[in-house]
Amino acid sequence: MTITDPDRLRAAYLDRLAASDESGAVAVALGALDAGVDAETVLLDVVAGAQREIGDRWAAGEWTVVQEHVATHISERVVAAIAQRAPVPAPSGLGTVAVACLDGEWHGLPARLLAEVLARHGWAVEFLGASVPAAQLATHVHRVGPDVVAISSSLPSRLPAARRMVEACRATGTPVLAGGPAFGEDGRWARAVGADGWAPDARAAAAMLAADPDGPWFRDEVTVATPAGDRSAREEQAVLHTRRAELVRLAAAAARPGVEITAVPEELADDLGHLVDFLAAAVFVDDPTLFDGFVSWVGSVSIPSGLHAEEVGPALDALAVALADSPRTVGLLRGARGGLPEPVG
Amino acid sequence: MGGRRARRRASPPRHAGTPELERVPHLAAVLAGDADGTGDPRLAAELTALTGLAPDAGGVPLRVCPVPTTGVVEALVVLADPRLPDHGDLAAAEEDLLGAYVARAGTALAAAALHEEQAHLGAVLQESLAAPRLPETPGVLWGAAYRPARETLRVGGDFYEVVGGAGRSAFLLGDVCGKGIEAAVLSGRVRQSWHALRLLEDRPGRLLPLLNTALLDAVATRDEDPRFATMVLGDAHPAANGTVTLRLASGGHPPPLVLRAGGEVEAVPVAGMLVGGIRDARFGEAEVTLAPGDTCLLYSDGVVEARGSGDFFGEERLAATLPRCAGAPPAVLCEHLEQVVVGWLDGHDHDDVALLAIQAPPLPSRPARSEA
Repeated sequence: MTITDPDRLRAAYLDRLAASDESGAVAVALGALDAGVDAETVLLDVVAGAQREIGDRWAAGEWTVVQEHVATHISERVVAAIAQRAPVPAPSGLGTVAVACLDGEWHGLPARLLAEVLARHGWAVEFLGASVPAAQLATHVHRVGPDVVAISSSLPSRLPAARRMVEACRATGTPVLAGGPAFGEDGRWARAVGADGWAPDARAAAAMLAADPDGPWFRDEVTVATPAGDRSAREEQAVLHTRRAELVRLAAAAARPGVEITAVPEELADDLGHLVDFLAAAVFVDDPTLFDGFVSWVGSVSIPSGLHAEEVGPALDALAVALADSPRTVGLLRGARGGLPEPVG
Repeated sequence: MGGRRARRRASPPRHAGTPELERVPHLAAVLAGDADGTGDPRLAAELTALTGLAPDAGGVPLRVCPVPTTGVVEALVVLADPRLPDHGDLAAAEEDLLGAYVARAGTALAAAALHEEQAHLGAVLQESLAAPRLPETPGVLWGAAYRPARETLRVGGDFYEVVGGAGRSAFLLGDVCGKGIEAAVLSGRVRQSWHALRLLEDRPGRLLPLLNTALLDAVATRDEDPRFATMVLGDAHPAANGTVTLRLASGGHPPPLVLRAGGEVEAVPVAGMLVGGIRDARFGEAEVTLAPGDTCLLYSDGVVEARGSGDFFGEERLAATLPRCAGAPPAVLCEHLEQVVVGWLDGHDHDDVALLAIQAPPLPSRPARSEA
């Protein structure tokens, strides 16, 4: 008996990913295609859905980074196998979309899935891959001249990079459609970095592009109160970027006193690096909820040797002292500190 | 919008329609130099339609002035000004200003066209030097990562090649001294020489000296300064019992690392002199057997010399990073290492980074799992 229900397919697919079983995962996906499930459903509800679940498992400390990478690698192979079994039709003349991940964004699969879906909707698609430097995007836009650039990111800490990419496209008047959780649940940070629109997922992006291929997709009654990247925001963000390594060391010393600088576990340094990056992004788009969201998330995940909940407060305090010259930054640090739960006992 | 329209001309028309020039025959004639056009009402009507600038009731206050260019760009300036009397006659001063403006516009357009040609040249070169697709070979799994130094022209001096074959698959990973376009051109020469020579000589220990001679001869016939390369080359031979035997030869390159399925890391003791330096150079040879799940990693020195805010990434950190990838597919190992190295760089500039991983497939009965 073949499964066609997307939820049951996703469960079966996840099961194969958990077993690092590439051929099993491919078999689930191709079996669904052969049973008449359409390719978009397999790509988005089965593969993308399972990948979201994997992200949750990683955040819950159930999976290691390498396990997540193996699963993602298998999903990449599955996407290729789907493209082979159910080939993408020739472009129908709608135009060309360049799909790129933000510089520093290594999760290339969501963008790849978007590229597959848009191609199935008739667009000619240029997939530029994971972690695309803004200079490379600028060269591509000048040379190839896509009609639309779609940028994807899962991490709000990459928002300053998004701004650079938007500027690279603006020079040629190419509209930019942003997508992915990096831009906030309602896409508010997509507006803040100057994108012309925001789509919550690949289906929505395809629908928006079908309805209006040229953008802008934001209806501009709403204007941003403080546009991202005004001068002082940029300056404070640049300070955080330049001093990142030093700030991570300071925060590590405060969070885990007595640990030698050279003996700081990689996981702790990673978490504190993210803390500084999210702080910089929150300063950049001038939105405390971005930083507060990360602080409460990092206090809730359980990565062995990573930043523990009770270490967050001392780390924030150390950053506030070190960054006393940056008023916006200090304001965000104080705000996040005030929102921390009281220590138990 | 003007920039956008001009840009579109180079790309295939999207919301398809008739080519724009066919709808404006008189404008096309002016562009081609077949007509002057000034004062021609038919041209004025076309321009009115194109630009949306309405002529005033009395006549055709439009003036067309072709922009002198090098012939790569066709452009003209259209003036529409209801104040102009007599169908566009300009006062002398305005005539001068228009002439100067048109000349500068022509220069700027020619420069832009030249830049586009150069960008295209770079792109063609880049495509010819792009990292190759990895083959599907029975009994051997491959993974690779390549990250050129942060330059807009994404070509570099690191390279790898893999050619699958019946029984044996040949591979090469190396690094030429220098940076930028010169390094990229030399790396192209090394790769092409390797592709040709390996058809005649498949023993790595013999192939590397041949490559050395080929590079020296190419330099000698051109009065070029000698340029060196470092590399590891070899072949992989899968056996029926699931193991893979590697034959390796190395010249001046960091020793390959073997990551065993259980997580142990061993450096392969193989060294040698720079390739392309002297004729009698001595190169190292080694043979490695990979059991199922074992991986051999070749890497360029951009990996260990990656320098972030503090120290170099270094061999020790590389060796310490590998065990957590034990048993993972080689593509995942390379991707993970690339991320760790880029994270280490913390936004600092870096040299090219190239990684090539060769794995004997893990036994299917024990799926590869890694634990923290």
